[in-house]
Amino acid sequence: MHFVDQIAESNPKNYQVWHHKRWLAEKIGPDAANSEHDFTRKILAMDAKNYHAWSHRQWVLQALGGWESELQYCNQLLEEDVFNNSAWNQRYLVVTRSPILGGLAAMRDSEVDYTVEAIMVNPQNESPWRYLRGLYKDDNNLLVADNRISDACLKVLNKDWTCVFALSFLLDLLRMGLQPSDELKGTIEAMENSDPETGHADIAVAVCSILQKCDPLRINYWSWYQTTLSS
Amino acid sequence: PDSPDPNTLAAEKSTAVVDGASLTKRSEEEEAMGEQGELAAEKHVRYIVTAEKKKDSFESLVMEHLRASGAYWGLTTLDLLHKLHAVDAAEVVDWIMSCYHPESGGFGGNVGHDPHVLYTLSAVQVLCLFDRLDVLDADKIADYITGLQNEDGSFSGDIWGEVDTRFSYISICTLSLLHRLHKINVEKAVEYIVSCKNLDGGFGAMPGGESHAGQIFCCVGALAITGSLHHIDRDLLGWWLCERQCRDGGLNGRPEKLADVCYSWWVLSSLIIIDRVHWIDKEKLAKFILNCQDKENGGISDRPDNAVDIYHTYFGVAGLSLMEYPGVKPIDPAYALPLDVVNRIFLTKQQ
Repeated sequence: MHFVDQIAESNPKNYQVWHHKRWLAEKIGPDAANSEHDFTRKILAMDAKNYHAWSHRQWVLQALGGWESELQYCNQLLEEDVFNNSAWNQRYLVVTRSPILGGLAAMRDSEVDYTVEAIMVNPQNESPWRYLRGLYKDDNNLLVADNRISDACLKVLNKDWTCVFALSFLLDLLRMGLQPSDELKGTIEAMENSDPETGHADIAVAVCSILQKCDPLRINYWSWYQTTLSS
Repeated sequence: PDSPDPNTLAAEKSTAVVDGASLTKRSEEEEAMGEQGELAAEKHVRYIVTAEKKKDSFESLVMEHLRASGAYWGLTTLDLLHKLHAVDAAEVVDWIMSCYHPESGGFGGNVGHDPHVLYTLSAVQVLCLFDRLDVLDADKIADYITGLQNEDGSFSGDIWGEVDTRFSYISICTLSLLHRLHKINVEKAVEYIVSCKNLDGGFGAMPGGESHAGQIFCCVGALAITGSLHHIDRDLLGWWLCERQCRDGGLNGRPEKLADVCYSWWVLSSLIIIDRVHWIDKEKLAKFILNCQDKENGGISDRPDNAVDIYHTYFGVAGLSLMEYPGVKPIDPAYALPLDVVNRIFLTKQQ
């Protein structure tokens, strides 16, 4: 394994060497957990998004253990680069599958706080917005009812009304039945006033048309979204 | 599929003389398109044909273990550019078959290299281009692949057991081209792929794995071929995929990563299969791809001004094909072969 590690370190994107490591680690058993985690840590320190390293790390956790410090590891990586989608993905794995954390329902509350904070620091970051959706999985009602989330959208939009992720999340919330507060309605109206062309009675439609302007690359997507709002 | 790290490949700027008047003669149609379009098709053809001939170049050597796939990338590109005849078909077929392992039924990446599904698919695809499936022992190849399906429905890449949704796609695609898809447990294969679906609608290499455009193509392609697209939330995945488009018009493979020409294939073909390609800005993407060309020496790179390689040349041209770029043949988004090749396989009577 020591020999293979040297090769893997100089060829961290080679599929075969990672598979060989797994093959060996399987034979060694749970005793290999710590050294395998140390090794992937080393590789991720050089390239924090190396897909092979993450796959291996996930396999080691699930086959050999070592969950204890994984959430802390995610914290560390996100502190270094909050835009690291792989770290957010790993965080989701830990929160949902770690045998020592109690599962998604138990972790949801603290995770929402953590994620909202990350969003406030860097609203133009795709990952935490997706992570937030993941925390509520298929439970749209709970998501809509969590005021922290609609508040976060509002706060972000008050600072930057062109933030596409915030607009898009808000749109989803509205479609799921969010009753917009007066403050929210006011913010949207203010955005619309910046463009005299618009002026929609339906707030979701208003957000949609704002998105078509702010995210022109995906204008067809937002136009389509608008058609799903009619009812 | 297994690919060389583009940063370690340097294009060998070759000035070798390429024979064949067919390469230098342009049809009137191409001449006219050359006026408006910016695809340096002739240069790319020359780049590929030269690379194919120069077996001692740096690029050739670093690609040695996956030359069969390199052949697929290069030859499919030639076909897409209407220039498959620029190579000697019999020579290619012979070389491909020299990579075959009759004991196992699999193909290696090069002569003398161990068999693997990666190169088995590439070999079958190359033979499809030349309409030479007749040289294959289809049942033997089917047995090789069937033997690699695991109990949970996943597929190993070879006897050593690496599992990855790439291999699910490869196995399904190969068997489908050989009209032997029924030989595997399709239901279980689909079940495994679905187990790799993430909340964002995307797919990873294994259950829990981060959604990645390359893996998504493999899973979506496999589900398409097996008639199982109903497992996909097209609107959700379509949105994730269209979010891959960056300001520069290019596509990335996952959130917050750089655009790369190869994603012009992985993302685009997936979008087409789920009928959501209109959600990206095709014009901007085409411009991005065209900016990645080396217009002097031919070839396409991962992003503008980087070194070119066969892999990115193929994916750039394939991406343009999916967007119906003039002068480029249409390509099938699931089988990754020219449409006329796929039609020939499925619309004419085969045994």
